[in-house]
Amino acid sequence: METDQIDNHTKSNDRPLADKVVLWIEDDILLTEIIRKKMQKLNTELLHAYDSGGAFKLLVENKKPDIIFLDILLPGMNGYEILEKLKADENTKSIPVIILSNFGQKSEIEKGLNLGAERFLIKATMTLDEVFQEADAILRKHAA
Amino acid sequence: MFSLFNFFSKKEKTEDLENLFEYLIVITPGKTVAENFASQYKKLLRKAHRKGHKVLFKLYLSWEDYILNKKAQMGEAVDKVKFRSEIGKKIDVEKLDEEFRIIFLEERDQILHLYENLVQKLGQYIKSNMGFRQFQSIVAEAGKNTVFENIEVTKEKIDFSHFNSLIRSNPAEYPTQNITKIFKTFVEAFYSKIETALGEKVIQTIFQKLYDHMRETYSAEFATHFLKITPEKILGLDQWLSVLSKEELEKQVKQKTTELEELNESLEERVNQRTRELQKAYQELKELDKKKSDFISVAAHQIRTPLSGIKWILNMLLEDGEDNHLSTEQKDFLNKANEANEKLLLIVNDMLDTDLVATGKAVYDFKQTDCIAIIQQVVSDLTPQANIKNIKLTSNDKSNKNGIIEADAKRIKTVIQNLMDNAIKYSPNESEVKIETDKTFDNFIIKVIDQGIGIPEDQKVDIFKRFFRAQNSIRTHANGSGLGLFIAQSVILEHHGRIDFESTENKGTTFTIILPLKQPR
Repeated sequence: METDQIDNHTKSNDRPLADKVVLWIEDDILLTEIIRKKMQKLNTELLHAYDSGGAFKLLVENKKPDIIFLDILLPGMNGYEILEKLKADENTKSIPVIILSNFGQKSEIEKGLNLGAERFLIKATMTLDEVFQEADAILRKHAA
Repeated sequence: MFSLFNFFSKKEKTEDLENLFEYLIVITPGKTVAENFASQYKKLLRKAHRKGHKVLFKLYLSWEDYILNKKAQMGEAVDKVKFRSEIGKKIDVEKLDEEFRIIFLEERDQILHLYENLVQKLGQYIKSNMGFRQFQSIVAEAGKNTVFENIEVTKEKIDFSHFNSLIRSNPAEYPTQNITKIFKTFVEAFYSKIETALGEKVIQTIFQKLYDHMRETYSAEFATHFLKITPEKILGLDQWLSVLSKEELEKQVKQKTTELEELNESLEERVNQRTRELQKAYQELKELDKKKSDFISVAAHQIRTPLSGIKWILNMLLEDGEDNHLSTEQKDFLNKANEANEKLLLIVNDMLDTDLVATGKAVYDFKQTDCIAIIQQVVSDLTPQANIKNIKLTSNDKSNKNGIIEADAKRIKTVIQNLMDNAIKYSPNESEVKIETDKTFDNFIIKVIDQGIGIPEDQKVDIFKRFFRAQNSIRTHANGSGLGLFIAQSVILEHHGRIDFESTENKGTTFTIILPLKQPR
């Protein structure tokens, strides 16, 4: 559980997710590090948690994120359970959730979407830029 | 042995019809057939009648029976083949007089003869169960005050000659339709008397023998046929049969019922058992399938996660190349590492995809997709690969750059990539690989044309099978998973499209994909 404040000098309106607050629940250390590095360049506030406990604590202690990235295979509560809880809570149910996982079978994707995720993206098939662009598109759609 | 054949033989002899070849004999298993025959040969029969010929008409069951009977009478002198050829001879109506005489035996004569012989046979069985005198008196009593009054019982037979001539000479008094009734009355009287004398059991045995005899003489088919149509004609034989076989029948029915019940029970048990086994096997298969799916899912996840990390890092390094002060060589290495990583990801995705496609679990994301843009991208991606072999990659669009269809862009790209990759891989240096596009009212058509090694004739049926690789492709290129065309076909079918090919070995192959512009709702 940690919070990263991005320096203002990297702020750019062209960049996806600029000025946004993102909650990212991901347990892989390497991926987390890359994500953090990427976020620093985008002037995006990253709230990161390795598991559900950390995630819900962040949600209570911090301002409401604009969007949530959620992994499936996590220690303790899995991504689907976290999603269910998020969607059942009045405070969090309106926050768009993107599942970003390396699972990708039809049933897994359907399950995620049925539980209320906006998208189910497969990490290995996308670059981080593509992931952010997807997220940005969702936020723009929500704002409209 | 009694049979109608004996009867006819007798007639032939008595009427001096020595040479059968001169006569038209109708061989028929029944009245209907005989009547059909008569109507067909009406002209012939009428003519014969005008000439004053007697017509011998029906009732042989088959030539086989007739010939067998003649053989029994005349020994081997009867030539079956000759008989057949004589009968097969075309009847020349004009020469009818010289060649044929048609003999007609009236129906009443037949019936009389049939009944006489039945009674004769019956008498024979009864006589062996009682003294001659007793038998004589029973016959006399049964016939008393009837037209049978004058029949004589000798030790050899019951003599019907007087009776026959009486009936025959008085057709008005004894019309054909009454003959059955006359015989029935007689045999019923006869039956009641011998039953009193011999008891029910003996009578039953006798009639069983009579029935068997009839079946043997007339053949089962004839007996059944005859009995079925007019059972009362055979002196109420149906009644006798019901008496004689009631007990036996009941026994048989009971036995058969028990057998059937047992069979039914065991069948039911077997069906239940098989169902249970099948259910169990199905359950096991389902569990196995789930385990396999879970394994693939987890394995894919585990392999993809570090590969994603590498992909993201390399992408970031390449993006920020300037800031990172990388040398050209370092950038080149990073690019190569990225390409290798992408290839590895593609293989993992392909293997996972193959399973998903094969199990129908693949997810398709149908959207408005520009096929021409995809093709341009693939051509651009594969140009370095083609350049190595000096292969010219060309594209020719006849659709006026109108390649928008409803499709899963990523999967269509995979298909085109697979086909183009194969085309380049299996084409000789300095050749050409063409990709042509066209559009009809409903479909978008993509052709990938190469001048490569082609597909051997005997292996064409297999090329879309999973893991299949043609022999000549293995010789040319050891690498290849044998999954590309399988995936291509699965994807195109999932798009409700078609994929086909034409190929000549050592000349080239053309793959044609037809994709509907819109997916059916």
